[in-house]
Amino acid sequence: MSATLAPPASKAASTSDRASAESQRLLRLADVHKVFTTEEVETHALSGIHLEIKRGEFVSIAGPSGCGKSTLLSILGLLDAPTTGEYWLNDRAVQSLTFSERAHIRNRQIGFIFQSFNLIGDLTVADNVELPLTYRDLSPGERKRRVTESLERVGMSHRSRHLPSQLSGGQQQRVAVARALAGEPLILLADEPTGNLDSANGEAVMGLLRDLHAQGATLCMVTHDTRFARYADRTIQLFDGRVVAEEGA
Amino acid sequence: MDVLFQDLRFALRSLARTPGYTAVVIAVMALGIGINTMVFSMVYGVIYRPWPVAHPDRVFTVAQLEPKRNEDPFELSFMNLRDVRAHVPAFEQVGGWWNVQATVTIDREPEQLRAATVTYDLLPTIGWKPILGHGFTADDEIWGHNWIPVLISERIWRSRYHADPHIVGRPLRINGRTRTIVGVMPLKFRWPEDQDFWIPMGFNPADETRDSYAIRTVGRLAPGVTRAQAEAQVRTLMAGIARDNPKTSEGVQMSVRDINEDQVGSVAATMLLMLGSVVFVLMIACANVANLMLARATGRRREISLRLALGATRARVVRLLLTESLVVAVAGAAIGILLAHWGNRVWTSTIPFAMPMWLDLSIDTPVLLYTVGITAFAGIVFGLAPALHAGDMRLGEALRDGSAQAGSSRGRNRLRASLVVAEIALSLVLLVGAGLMMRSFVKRSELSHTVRTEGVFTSRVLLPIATYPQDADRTNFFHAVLGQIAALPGVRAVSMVSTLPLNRDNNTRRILAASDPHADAHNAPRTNFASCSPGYFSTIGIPLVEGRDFNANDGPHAPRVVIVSQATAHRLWPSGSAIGQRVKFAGQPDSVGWSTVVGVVGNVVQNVEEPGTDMNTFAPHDQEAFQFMSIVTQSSVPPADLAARIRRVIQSHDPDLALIDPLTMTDFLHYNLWLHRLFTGLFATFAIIALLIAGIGLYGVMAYSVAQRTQEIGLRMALGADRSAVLRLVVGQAMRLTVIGCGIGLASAYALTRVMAGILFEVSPNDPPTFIGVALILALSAALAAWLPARRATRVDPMVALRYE
Repeated sequence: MSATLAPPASKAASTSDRASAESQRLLRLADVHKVFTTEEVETHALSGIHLEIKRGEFVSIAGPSGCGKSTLLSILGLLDAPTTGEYWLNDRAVQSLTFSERAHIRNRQIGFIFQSFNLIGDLTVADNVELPLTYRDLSPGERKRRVTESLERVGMSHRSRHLPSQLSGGQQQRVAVARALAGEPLILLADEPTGNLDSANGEAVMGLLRDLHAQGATLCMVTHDTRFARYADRTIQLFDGRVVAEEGA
Repeated sequence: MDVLFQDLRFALRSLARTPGYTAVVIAVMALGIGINTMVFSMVYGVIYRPWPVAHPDRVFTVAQLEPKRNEDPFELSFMNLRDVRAHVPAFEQVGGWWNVQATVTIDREPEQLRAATVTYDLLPTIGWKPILGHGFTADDEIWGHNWIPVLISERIWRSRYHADPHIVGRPLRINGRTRTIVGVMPLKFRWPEDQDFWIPMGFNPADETRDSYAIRTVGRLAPGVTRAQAEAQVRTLMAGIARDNPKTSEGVQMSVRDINEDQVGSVAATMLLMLGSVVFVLMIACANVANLMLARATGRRREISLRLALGATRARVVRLLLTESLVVAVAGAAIGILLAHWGNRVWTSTIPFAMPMWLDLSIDTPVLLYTVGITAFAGIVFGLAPALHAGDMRLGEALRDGSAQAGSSRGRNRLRASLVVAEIALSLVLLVGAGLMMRSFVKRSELSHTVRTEGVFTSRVLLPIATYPQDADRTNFFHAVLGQIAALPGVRAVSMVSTLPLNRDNNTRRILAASDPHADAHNAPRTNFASCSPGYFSTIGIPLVEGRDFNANDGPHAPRVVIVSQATAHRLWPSGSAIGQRVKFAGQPDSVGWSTVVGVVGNVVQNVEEPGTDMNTFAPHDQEAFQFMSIVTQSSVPPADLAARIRRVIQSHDPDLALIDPLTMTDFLHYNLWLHRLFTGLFATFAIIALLIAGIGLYGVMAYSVAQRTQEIGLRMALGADRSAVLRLVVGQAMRLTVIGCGIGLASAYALTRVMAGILFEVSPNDPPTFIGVALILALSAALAAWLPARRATRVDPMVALRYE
């Protein structure tokens, strides 16, 4: 389970090795730049990022505040597009898709876990988990099955009728994980999933992510907490929008 | 007091910080309070304002009625008025009047002005005196004496006589008689409406009958006497009269009535309905502003919780927010009063005649008291919910910059949604009311298609009894005049009729058929009656469906003939032909005898106010020589030229005659429908304002909701919702509220529009097309109001919404 940072595969690699690597590769960023222009000031949030993540891999992205972690994650999650560079997801170039196409891929191939849980306060736990499924042509029965399964996987099926405000922070994040799983995505993107939790709840959520990874899930997690970064197979260190180090490669 | 000023200062500062919001809520309140003030000033002016008489609390009308016939109260005969004067001690004074047209020659050619024939004691009864000269005396009531004096208005005195101080004693030629001016009435006195001349009432004792009902009567109660006592006395008096005169007065009663009620009649119902409508508009405005204030209060949670944290009591916070809402309401009221003043000027400018003396639309103390009342009501109603919600805030939650607001915001959102639902429901009721009024007006306007209007010109001529006392005088005059008008170049046809179709006058008679031996004069059906010349039906475009038109052989000495409408023929002879049947009219002297039906014409509504009655009967003018006739001309001559030519023809016969109301038939119909047009226009205006306010309300709620749900929408997008899903989410939310509001509104409208049954014409109060059409219009407006916030929602950037770096 290895991944390479830039540059891409060497010329010396054999054809069969290459074919095998490509079949395992889930996503690839090539020379990705992201520039924000505000009031005539250009801010280079990401500069020349090369990144590959293989199926079943658990990658963490670490770095200080403002280093570009979340920008990178939003590009990976198709919430934003690179200014330049290429992004391949599941063998498809996705850097310049339309809004609708990106929404479609987000819904079917990506699961999000946010720092602040982002559960909808007016919806029950089950409704929140079902939310991404409502944007697909799934029967109510199928949706219900997936919701139940997802909640069982995170141990929250007994609270399915509760409102988020009736849950603790840790429980809310478990529900958010269930919501990410319900769509059976190719990859889970987690943005500081323990950032709003105390250490006990943080540990519990990380344990959950580790279990999911053990079951074969592909994860990419942004964190600034080195304790939790260690849960990953590989940690990529960002600084000023550049990859400055990689551990566990 | 210091605390109050402090709250006021805070409120003003707080409102000044958000000028856009403040302007919107003040504008909405100004609209709501403004149209309420305007309509209340109308309703109060028409229905409730005391008449301009001395001791208005003691002045009442006396009317007669026949309960068995269930008809409107009617006027008194002169004999009965004299009996009231002599035998009802409850009244210290009694007077009467009827309106007449006055053809007056002052300093130019004859002109038509309004006059009233009044009893000598009318002026003291209502407490008015001339500013120059004197009023009438009892001697002026003697037949023959009453031909001499005349009182003129100050308006005429100033405009025509240049306020001549020696006016008293000067002669004035009016309705063919030269009278002597005995006095000048004050500028504000135009009794009963916009009269300029008053002549004394007198009756030839030989002509007096108990059932010549013509005189509107007022009596002033003696001090200390109650209306009930007067009522008992007039009832006793009338019972005696009926006992002594069974032939003319059997079943007739007498009653003391409120003077306003007697004057306003059926308009009162429409006006009260209008007041109800604008109260609805005010409620919609209140719901709207309450919604805006709730949104604002949500935005101020931190400020308010800080106040609470620093020791302010909840009552103090509630009072502060109520002060803000009252400030808004008072500012709205100030602008609303200006709007009402302007609105009154606009609608009164549509009245095609002078304002009657009794109609005063001033925005004075009683109207302002109403405005103050609704302003306080509105300020408290729309301020209370936000204030109570703010007072009920959970401090810890509000001060914490977190996301755990779901629980408390749910209640507020539900309240806001409920307010929008209420706005939609109220708007729908108003729109249905306006829609019904419009459909009714269109139906009434379509009546004009039943007569010819193209190229038809009408004008009226009044032949004074003084100079045209005999029937032959009148028939000779009109024969000569019609012959000359027919010879004018461009004139294709000319004829005349005593009452034009689609008029606002009532001239009905009870008709008895010889074929029905059991016909009873008291219970016989009523028919509109008109006298006309040969050729009238073809000129005005009423089809002759059976028999013949009148002709020159139907002269005064020929057998009496009539032409009836199909409705009359069907009512009297449902199974056979009307031609050859004989009829007579209740109350006609026996010497007149029966009239034979020689023709049947198409149905035409004679009175636009009573469009359900198209039973009409016509007699030839040679046999019913009315003095007041409308000349109907069909020509290609421009109206102004034709009027001048007809005037020349008439004045070549009698220089004292005026050509009255020269109008094209189209203008005539337009004139007669003005009241319906006004009411329909006002209802439509109120409904559009309501729709606009409700639309703004829905827009506000949806815009607020989108702003409040930015994070949620961003999340949904992150989870895969595309733009159409977001659009559906927002518009769907609005449409859910709209459907609930429409459902409640339709049910309420179904129940409430029944009160409109009496004022609608050929439209059911539960007219399905109106209900469905209005619901669709409202739904479309709601979709439009939700569209803009929904579009904004689709542009939410998920990254920003989710607060990424």
